[in-house]
Amino acid sequence: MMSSPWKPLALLGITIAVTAGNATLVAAWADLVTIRFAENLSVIPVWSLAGAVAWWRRPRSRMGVLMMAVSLFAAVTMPNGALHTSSQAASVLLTVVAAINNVVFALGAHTMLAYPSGRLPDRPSRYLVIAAYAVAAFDGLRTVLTRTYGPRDRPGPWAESLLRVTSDLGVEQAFGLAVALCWAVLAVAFAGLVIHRFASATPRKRQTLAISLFAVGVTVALFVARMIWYAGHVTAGWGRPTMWLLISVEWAGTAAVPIAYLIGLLRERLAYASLGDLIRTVGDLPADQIEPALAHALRDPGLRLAFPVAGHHLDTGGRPVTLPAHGGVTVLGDPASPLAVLIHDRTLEEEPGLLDAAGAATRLALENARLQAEVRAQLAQVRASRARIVAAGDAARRRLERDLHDGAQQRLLTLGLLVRMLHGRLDGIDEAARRLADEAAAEVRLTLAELRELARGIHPAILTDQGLRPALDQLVLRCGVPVTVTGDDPGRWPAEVESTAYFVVSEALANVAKHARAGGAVVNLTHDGDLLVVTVSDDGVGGADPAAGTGLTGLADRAAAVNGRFTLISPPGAGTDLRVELPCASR
Amino acid sequence: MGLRVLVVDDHPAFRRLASRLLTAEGFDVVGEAGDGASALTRAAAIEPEVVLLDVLLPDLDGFAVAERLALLPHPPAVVLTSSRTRSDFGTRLERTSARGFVAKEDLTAAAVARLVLG
Repeated sequence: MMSSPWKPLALLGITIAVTAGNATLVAAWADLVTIRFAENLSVIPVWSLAGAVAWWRRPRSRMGVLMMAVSLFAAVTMPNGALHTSSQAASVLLTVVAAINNVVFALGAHTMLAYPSGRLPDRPSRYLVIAAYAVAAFDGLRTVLTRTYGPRDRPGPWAESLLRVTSDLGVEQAFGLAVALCWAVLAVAFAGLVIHRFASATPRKRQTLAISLFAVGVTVALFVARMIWYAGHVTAGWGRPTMWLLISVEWAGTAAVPIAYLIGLLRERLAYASLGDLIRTVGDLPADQIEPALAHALRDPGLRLAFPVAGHHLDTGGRPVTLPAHGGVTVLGDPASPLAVLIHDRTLEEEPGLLDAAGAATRLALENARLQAEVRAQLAQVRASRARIVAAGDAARRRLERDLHDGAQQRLLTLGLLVRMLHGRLDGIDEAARRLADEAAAEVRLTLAELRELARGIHPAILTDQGLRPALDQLVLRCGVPVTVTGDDPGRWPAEVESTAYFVVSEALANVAKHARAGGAVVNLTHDGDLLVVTVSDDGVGGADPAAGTGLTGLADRAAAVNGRFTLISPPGAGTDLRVELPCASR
Repeated sequence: MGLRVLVVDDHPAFRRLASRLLTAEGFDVVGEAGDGASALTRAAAIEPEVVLLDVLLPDLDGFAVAERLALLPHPPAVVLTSSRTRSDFGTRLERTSARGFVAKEDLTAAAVARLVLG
């Protein structure tokens, strides 16, 4: 990425030579060594050194050339003032300097707008820079044609522009005012553009732009102030000393731009150093932490990893993710079978070497993270499948209960009614036959009761019709031990949650009756936001073990199938506490 | 007795049987309805003294129909019935304005008469 340093060194040498030469001429010819010469001198070292470093380290970016050009122009146009000599050479020099003096402003604007990539990023910037060069050319022309360099109130000889056509002060000031207005408008437009760019930048880019925004702000403010002063001087006779002060501060402020560029280069070096840290620590990182570690090393808090799997992309949690369409996407590893994809801030696109190095450094960890993402995606599929199976089972049982109700039960009810009608007819007429009818009616009643119990065991109708609390109230009446139901009525919940809660309590109470030798049990229902909590506690012998095949394993599975949690506390001799938490995303 | 009865149930077979049962013991079955909406219309029109009302109707809840029947100018005595048993309805039976409940498996004219007259 670095070129040989000869070209920038050569330009640096030329700049130094020109500066030295002009400094000598100025010392010889200038009537006063004014602040104007000093401020050019203050610009030259900073811009030329920064430009030289930038050209050497980033030859493809034009920032280096631009900064050195600004410096060279400042060096060449040093003698832009009153030269107390009659030398023809001085007049020639002055003519040239007058023509090109203001190009440095356009060059400065060009440099600041092209920061930090060296290229003008959009059309408004290009138009503004073209306009700046045009105004600079116009300014050069009017200077060469109308400006009188020598002070009018002191005797000559003074060097003047060889192309001067008038020495009328009024004409000179009129043109000067016009040009000053043009520069002021451009300065405001320039400020607006820079502010807009900062405001619409991503956070990472704003870090880079912050210092240059400050420098530009100071420069533009003072530039406008200088133009306003000139207008005031021409129309109302404001004095010169303030102007020199303004100009000095303005020139000093512009030094911030090349310094900011150098700081930017330095930060890139630091970024590579932080990659060194990453390489040292990445071996110990769990796959979960590789994404934040990369984000930290690359100074991009919004950085995300994605893994290409079977035609789509998964994030680190195994969830599907779509890549952004407009850049900020870099593939790591072999393009034919990529290891991972980085989704990052667009400013990182200017540092592809950094991204490649990051990918190489973390290759093993990325492979682990990718495997983990695939496993998580599969686990999510398995969970969804299990939930579907359980829901299908519940639905089938509800249908069966309905079919029993609508079919066999209705027939038995009809049979019962007919037998009772028969009983009524036979009453008082044939006692033996009436007693037979009584027996038949009793049989029908027993059959209905058995069928009803069967249906309740499959799926209790009251659970579907009225909800969990009424169903539990009915259930506990048929348990072998006394059971109290406590807690508020939680209302209606999704069918699979109510079924799971009901069958957990049903199974738990069956265990209590069979194994616990308890005096009583308590069933508690509470709900906490999106979570339904059911507990069954008894005062029996405890020692329940889910692994001992008492159906408690089935309860844990049932709860897990609806993404719930199942806990069992059953110390021997101290009763049993069973707790199920069932979530519901939407009620 | 001659008490005028409206039989409301969504199973036509049950309506026929219940009507026969009640008529055989002296009730006067003056109308039938298959759902809640038509039950309310018929009751308003024929003003029965007794309504035998199935709780599980296709359109309206039987308890809600019972409340609406209680608002008629000459409110009938409502006897709720169902193929389900009393315990399947929990506390709802205590809160209703109907006279009482007879499960279909226990349905006799005498049971209805006890609830209406006694």
